Amino acid sequence: MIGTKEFELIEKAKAGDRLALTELITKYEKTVFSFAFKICRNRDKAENTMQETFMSVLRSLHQFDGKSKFSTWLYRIVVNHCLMMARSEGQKDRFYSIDEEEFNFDEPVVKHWADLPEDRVLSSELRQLLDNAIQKLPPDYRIVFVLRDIEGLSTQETADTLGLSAPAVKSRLHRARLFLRNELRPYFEN
Amino acid sequence: MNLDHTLKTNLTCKEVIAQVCEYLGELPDSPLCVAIQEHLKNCDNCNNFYDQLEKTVKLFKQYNTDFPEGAHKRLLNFLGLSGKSDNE
Repeated sequence: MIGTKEFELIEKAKAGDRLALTELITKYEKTVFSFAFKICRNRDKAENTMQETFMSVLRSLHQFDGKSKFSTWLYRIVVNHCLMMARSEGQKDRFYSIDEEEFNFDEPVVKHWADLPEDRVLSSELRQLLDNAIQKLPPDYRIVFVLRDIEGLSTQETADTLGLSAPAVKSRLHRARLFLRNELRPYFEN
Repeated sequence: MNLDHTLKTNLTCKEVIAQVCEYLGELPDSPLCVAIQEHLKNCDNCNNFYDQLEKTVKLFKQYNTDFPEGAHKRLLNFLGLSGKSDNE
């Protein structure tokens, strides 16, 4: 599942080669930080999660068997830290429960949303809106959405990372997309 | 439906229908899928709704943040890797 060069780097790191370990960390630190930020929506928490993730890597690298991509293994560790952090902060009450929510399609007319800016620079108002919307999503749904739609993992890779079935990933992704779309509606339609 | 794929390429109607039908566990030539195909041809609501989902995903993809200054050094310090390496 992983390339020869990366396999050799990981084997060296496993054997205690500090240069190889540092190279491995340097290669993946931005990926881990970016993913953690997209889950936590807070730079300090994301950096903290990145540090704890790599500490876990140091402790458990010997368990990595190379059957999955190294990045998939890392995603799994980040997810565990994010979920632990959410639980420790008692965030559960702040989330909407969308497990049983029915997304009834009762809009008589679905409006056309204005085209998005091409310069990829989002206004602070829009960034705030996106932060608020995604933070209302329960972590289980948020993580699926970020892995699948933002990070670009396949349905099966997402399922493997989270220990879910592929249908469960599809279902959560579908609900997460509908929820987020509904949260953005007032911005585009008012 | 694979929105991520759609963002990168222009899918044909046939491909979209195939994705929808796979999602529903239906064969492309099943009565349900044929009816969906006919409906989508002329339904502005469905097309707008699909476009809204695409834009929702695209916005979240656009929202990135820079890697914090000094974070690499702080990480190596945190891990006890900032000293001399074994190979030095």
